[in-house]
Amino acid sequence: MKKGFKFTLVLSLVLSMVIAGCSSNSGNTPPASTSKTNSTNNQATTENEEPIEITMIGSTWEVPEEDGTFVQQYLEEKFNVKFVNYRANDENFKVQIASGEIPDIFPHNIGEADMVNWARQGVIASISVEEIKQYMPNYVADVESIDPNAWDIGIVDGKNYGIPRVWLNGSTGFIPTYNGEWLDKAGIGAPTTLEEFEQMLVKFRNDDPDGNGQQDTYGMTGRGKDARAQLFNTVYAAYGVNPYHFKEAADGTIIWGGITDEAKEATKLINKWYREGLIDPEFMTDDNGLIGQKFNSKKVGFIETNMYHHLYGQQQTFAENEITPVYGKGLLGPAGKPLQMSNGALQVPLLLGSQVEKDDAKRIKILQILNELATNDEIYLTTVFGQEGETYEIQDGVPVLLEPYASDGDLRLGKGIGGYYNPFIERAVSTWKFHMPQDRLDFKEQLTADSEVIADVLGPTVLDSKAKYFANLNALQDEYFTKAIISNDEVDSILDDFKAQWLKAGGQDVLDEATKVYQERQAARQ
Amino acid sequence: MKATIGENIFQFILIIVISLLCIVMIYPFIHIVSISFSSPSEALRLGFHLYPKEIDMTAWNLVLSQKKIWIGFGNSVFRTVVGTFLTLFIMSLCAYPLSRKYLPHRTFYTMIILFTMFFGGGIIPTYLLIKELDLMNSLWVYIVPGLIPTFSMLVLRNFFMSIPTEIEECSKIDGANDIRILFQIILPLSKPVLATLALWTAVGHWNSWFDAVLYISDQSKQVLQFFLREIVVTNTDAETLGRSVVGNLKYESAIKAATVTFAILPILVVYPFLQKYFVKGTMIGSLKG
Repeated sequence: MKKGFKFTLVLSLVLSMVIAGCSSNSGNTPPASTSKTNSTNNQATTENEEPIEITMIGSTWEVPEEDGTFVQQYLEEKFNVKFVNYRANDENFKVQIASGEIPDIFPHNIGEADMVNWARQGVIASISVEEIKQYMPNYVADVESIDPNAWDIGIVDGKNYGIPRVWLNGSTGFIPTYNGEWLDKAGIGAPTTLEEFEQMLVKFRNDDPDGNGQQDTYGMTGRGKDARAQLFNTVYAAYGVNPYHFKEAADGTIIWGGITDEAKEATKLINKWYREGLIDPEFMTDDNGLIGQKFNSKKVGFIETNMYHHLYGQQQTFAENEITPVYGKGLLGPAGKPLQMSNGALQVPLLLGSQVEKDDAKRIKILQILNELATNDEIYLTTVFGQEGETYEIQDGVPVLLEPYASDGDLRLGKGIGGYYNPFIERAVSTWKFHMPQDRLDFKEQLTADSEVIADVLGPTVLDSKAKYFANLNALQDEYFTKAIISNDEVDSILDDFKAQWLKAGGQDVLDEATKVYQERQAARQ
Repeated sequence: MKATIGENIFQFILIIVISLLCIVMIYPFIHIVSISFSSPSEALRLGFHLYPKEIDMTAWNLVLSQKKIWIGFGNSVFRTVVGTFLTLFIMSLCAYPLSRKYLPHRTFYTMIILFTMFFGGGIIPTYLLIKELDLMNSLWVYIVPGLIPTFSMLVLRNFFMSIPTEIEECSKIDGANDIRILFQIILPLSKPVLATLALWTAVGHWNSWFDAVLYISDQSKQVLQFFLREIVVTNTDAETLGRSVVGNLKYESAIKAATVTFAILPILVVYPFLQKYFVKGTMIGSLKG
């Protein structure tokens, strides 16, 4: 009896852990069908015409703690609406959605998989493209000037589920950045071809560029722990491919970068370098933070995980570590032209709650407000930067936050400025100018002019087969590519094996669907 | 008895292995503490950090001058102190009757309580429940839902069962009622197990953040671990997202290290004093049935 009870206790402890583990994964249960807007804000503004009430959460950070902030009042007055502030963070937003609290305007950082689920579960509103074009003419013109196919991303089961968004930085490439002192010491300039790059790796490894008398430096490491698309992206780009992107094949079908011959050839070269000891063997576990640390503490002389705006922000760090960064272009290789990997400009659209679909007046009002938020200078400046003269002033054409607002985030929240009321912060061409002071513009020009980029041809496109298989396929690919890179000259057999496995494990379905979607889009454009 | 050579060698190897284990466990702490006192370039240096080569207090100044940190600290102390006290109190009230063999349907009640260990509602039903109970954005949401940790309660019940009933009968003859017996006889005899359970509960309270993330949106009611997470985890892509919580990218790693150190400090200070009960209490509580 005693033993039995002890056993029960132990068993129950183990089981409770198992169950706790399960229940924390249950975040995907379908939401309750009735939606309730939380009405915490009771300070109703009395207008002659009853103002429309809009539940707002433009972002899951920069959430104002108080109701009735400066920006809220400004917008309410301007558009004769009433905002109900929906408060959530990245962690609990989905739980709140699942419990039936659905905002009218969703935060701008939603993933494509959530978008599809929510579209099918009736959480988000479908909005016709014509209506968006009618009520958001300026914004639509902006978006289409960047990518006329921006609408593709929001289509789920033939219906449009959001307002297309683009990210202007996303269209620029990842910049190969070299340690200038090391290059000088090696007597070479920034490499422009794969051969020169290899020479650089050899010199950085063998010629003791940091001058401490030990062979403890590497030419490069790679982002192997997370964001695998960035792993050795410069080398893969020289072959005109990225193993983690979709690519258009010569026959007009869609192919996955990882199973192409180009990726295999590039991996062979990387494998050769690995075997020669030119690549930091820790690349498998390096994330962006560690790579930055290695570059700044002069353990590696080359970094490839930054876009121009990251580098712009790191100037001071480089200076403090006495590194003169030298920015290169893509390497000339088998692709025949210098290419750089890019994330692409398309993003998941801005979503509206399903209750908006039925309420015509509200939907139209929201679209009109969003159009102004993105493209009207005065409204954009006020929502993002606050009051001229008090929280910001214009210097050389760009707004600069004034002290104490510049350094105190809490004060900014108190005003409601930032992205909470403006989901198009840094996302619209018309108002992009306010984020680009001349030196940043020059820097961008210097780093990105005349460079050609390769990006995923599909972007964040929704594919059913992708949702079904992709997590497994990516895990498979991570494993095989790491194995191939550190193998003893067995890249061919490993990657052939990978290709077979990948196609069998659902990859073929993904490719078929991707090709179908892609060709449909191509046809629709003609 | 004199130890043989073999035994001596064995002891020697044991000591070496255990010392190595200790170093492996202590080093991460030293590393983090050292980085928190380092200048930016020193903090970025790869390799071992046993002590900061140049002491730079900027990170600590930045962390300790954050209002958030102190708000979080206050709330964490509140939930730990009040939560632990209430848990012990209510748990004793629950465990004592269940430990008495003369309570009718004792097994039935125990099983019902045990059942909650096997089955929980999951995140969303719990969220809805908390919302209906009007506990959203209330400090009590930290304490009330987990007021009686089932496993701890059963450990306590088992401990109470190990106390001879004769003591109770004796007190009854002397005129004590049930409440008096619990508070003046049983609880004082249960100090080791109470200390253990208090430690479990306190550490649990101090470390938990998920309830704060789910149920609290009012920043003035957030706990320290939430801000710690904000600074250490969520903030990693600050430059891209333009949402640097601390607003100082230069000192980022030192600030993270200082925040982590600050957050573990209270537990680190309390732990050694309760540790002896911890070992003793676990042994006693678990083996009696």
